[in-house]
Amino acid sequence: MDILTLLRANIKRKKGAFLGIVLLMIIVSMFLTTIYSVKKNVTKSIDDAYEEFKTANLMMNITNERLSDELLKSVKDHPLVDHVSTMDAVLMRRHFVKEKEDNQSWLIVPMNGIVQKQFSDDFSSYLDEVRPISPEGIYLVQGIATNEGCKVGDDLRFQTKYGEYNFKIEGFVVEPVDGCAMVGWKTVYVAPETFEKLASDVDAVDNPDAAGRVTIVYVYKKADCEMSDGEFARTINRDTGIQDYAYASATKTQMKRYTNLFSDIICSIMIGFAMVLAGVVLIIMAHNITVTIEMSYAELGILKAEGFTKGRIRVLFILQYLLAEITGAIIGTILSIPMISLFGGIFQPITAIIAKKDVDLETSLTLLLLILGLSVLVILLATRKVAKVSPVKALTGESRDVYFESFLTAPVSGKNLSLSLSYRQFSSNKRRYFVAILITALLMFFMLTVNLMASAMKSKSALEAMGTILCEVEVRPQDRNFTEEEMAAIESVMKEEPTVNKSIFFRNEYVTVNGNTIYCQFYKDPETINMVSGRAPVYDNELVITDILAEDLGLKTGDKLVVARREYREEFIVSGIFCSMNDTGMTMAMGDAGAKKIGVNGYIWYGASLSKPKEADRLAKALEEKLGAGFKIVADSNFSEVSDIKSISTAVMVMRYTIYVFSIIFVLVVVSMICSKSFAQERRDLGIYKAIGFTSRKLRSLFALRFLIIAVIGSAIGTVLSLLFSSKGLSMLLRSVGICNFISNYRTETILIPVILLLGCFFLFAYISARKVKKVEIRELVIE
Amino acid sequence: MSSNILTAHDLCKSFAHNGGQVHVLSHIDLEIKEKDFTVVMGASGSGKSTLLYALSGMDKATSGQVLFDGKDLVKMKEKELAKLRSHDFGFIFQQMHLISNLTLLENVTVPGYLNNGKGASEVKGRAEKLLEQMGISDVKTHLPSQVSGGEQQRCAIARSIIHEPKLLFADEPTGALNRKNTKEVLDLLTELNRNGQSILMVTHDLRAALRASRLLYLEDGNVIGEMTLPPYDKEEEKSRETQVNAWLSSMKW
Repeated sequence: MDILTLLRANIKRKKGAFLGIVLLMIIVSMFLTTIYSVKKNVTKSIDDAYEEFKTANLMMNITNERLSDELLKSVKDHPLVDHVSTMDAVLMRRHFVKEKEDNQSWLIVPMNGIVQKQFSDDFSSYLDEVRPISPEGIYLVQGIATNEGCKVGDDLRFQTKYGEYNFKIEGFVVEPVDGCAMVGWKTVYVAPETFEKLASDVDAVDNPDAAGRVTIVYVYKKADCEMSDGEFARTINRDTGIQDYAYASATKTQMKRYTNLFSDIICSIMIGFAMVLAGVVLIIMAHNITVTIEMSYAELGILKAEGFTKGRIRVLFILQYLLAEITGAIIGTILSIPMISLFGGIFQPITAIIAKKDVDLETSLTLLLLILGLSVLVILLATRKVAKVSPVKALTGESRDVYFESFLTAPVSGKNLSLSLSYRQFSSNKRRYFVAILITALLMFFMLTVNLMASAMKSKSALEAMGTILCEVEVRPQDRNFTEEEMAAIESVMKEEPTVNKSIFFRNEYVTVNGNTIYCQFYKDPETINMVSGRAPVYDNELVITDILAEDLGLKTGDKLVVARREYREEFIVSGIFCSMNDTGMTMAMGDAGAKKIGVNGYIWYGASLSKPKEADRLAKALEEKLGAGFKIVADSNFSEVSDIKSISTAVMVMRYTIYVFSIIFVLVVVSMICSKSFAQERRDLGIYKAIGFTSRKLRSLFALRFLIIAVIGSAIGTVLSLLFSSKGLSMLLRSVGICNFISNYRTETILIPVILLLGCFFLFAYISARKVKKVEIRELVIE
Repeated sequence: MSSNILTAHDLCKSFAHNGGQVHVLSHIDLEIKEKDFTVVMGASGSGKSTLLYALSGMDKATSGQVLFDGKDLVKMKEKELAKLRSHDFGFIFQQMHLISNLTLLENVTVPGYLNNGKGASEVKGRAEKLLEQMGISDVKTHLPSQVSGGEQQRCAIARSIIHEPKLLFADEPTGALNRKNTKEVLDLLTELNRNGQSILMVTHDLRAALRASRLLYLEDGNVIGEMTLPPYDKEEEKSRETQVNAWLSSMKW
């Protein structure tokens, strides 16, 4: 009972500290519960969608002329295969959404009742029933809406050699396999009669490169087959060779991984941040207890004199702080319910699946119990000094603060009185402010890291380092490859231009390597490949692979491998490692000689990277004049609309601002708590300062300046930590998406924005927290 | 005849206590003369310190006026009062109240720096000179916790006069000192007064009261007695003590 009485009294008397811990725990528990729940919900929703749509274990897109009945039969008859289904499709490469060309390959398929779920027009829910489609209507997947910013009612146009087709977007449907923003091809749906017309028009022309008839082959493994999807696909291809004829193929596991990839990465970073916040709570708690013991030395001495043992006093501390933490944890968990639905929504444009809104109580409770367990440990460590509290010393006042000279001490200067006095307050109480510095450094580190990631999503050089081909001038021939003459014409124009840094003729196709379907990039000039180690492929038997592919296939520079494509099967040597995030890094590249060896002829895309981006328009015009009609020539100098990364960039921005907001709230609470302790400890000094002529405003400025100094030191440490570890950490994390060559791009704003934000918040919050200075009366110094 | 440096009219101060009001100062009228060494005496709880703090503007009076240079301290805002403390008034506390993380020299210079009329080097030079006068220049770089109580009080005196105040207030400046340090501090204050410094001191120490040129006696918040003395002379201390003792006895001290 005595403990409970003291507990009540302590909480009542030290409301600020109690509420501070409650608030911090609300944030931590809300953050942890939200992120873990969102991570689990997104994964579970993707899994459920795959189950609901009965997604095949292996999917392949094969042009009709390359898919024979025998080939299909050999797959159907394979002992590991349960069944095979196929779907007719038309491959469309040139399509304009709101008159803007989309660069992805689309597979047009007839509705025929295969669409199972449809989004409401604002993507907030699924409709009860799929709406019927009109002959002029088209259903898209959400990934297209994300990348192109289109909506229901917008116009869409297909451009083919045999004419144009105009559609109106009538809705968006769920397609778990390729609906997400991360997958480079998309399935779109039209009315059956429209499909028939389109298919017959395509059949009438002989140009498979522009738009062709395709069969989507779905292969299901037997229920008792224990192979992974990857092993299953390799076995099927080894025994039948069907993947060698596909221009695109993927397993269910791969597609799930692509769909979930970025939400996973972002959640991982957020979990890291939440852990840091949890660590901050423990640190601030330990600091608070230590200062409380120093400040309440006399009271603790009296308690001891009255018969309280050190054990009982420590239990009192444990109960007090655990009560605050548990209160915060409960409120935080309740608040996480709306947050889960809010935060889960930011991944929908990437995954194209509405995430569940369940609260992952199990993980959340486990983590919170872990935090509470650690808290008890921290409190026990922080209250060790209680044992040393002497009732005699406490009652005789021998426990007063004594300051010692420090090597960090600088003289108080008349010229910079405020600054030098603030620095003195800091340097003579370093231990007290160490916690604030540590917390600032951690927050700064996180803010810079996320800023670095966000700026990487925008910067051209960083994107290029990730393997994205970004060129200010692009040329595509319509519905065909470049001819030799056209390539020579382009080169003749660009050769005269000193602004051209890189001149690239490119195409891509899926090939098979040791039984695995791999995305392969073909460069006319392999010297333009972004190499990490080794050298670019020079001879016709050389290729380069990414670091991730090397690890996945167990290959290294100098190793041999067999590349198969349709009837071709050739041996190549790995000449080096390059960097690319295409197909999340599972990719390889070769030069013109190698391409020809496996039957790849001609290029479908040309790009020029310029040292003076402003010249793009002029160069595009020069190329237009030289090449004439029949080409799509684009000049783009800002890359603000790189659709591949726009959705990811949005999610990263949300992550950045979330981290900013919570960092600011944490700074507010931490500054308030430290400030109120400092204020209590320095009340007498504040009275003296007032007595010698300092105004309340000046004293508040001194407080604010002191915290500004702390923020400057913490920010500097955080920046150094970021310079040392952010790039490495992000590289490790982003390596899973193929960004094996992450280059830190510390621009002025990357550092300045979080620095200004933190310094400003520290100064402002300290100034506000020090408002109690007004209430300090000089009379308090009087001894009657 | 010297003029008034500070005047109080109908000065009252009361505190809320147990739901009621305790009147500590009751309608006090008082003039403090320039260059005087005025000492206020009285029993514990008579309101000496309250009077000192009300007159110095460190505490607001409940009613009445405290006029300095024609301005009423009771009506002054915080900024004006702060300026008054950093320019015109000096204050010595019973418990020294030095800022514990500043050296003795810095404790003296900081209020000097607040007085914008002087340059930083001028303030530092004067502070060093004052510490030398106080006999503590050898410990000027020490922190308060590293020096004796007497040294701390001498530093506090130096701090209170760094900006050459027109009026120096002292609240039981010897209350926390031993006999030797008490004498040294009183000698310093006497010397300052001899050089023209106006001083208003509150004490219940007879030895301190002997240094006064004017004695006031406070009882229950009212000034009930006043005595004028010639300037302090060590040689005449015995007869001065007898004279003051007799006066104090008449005040029922």
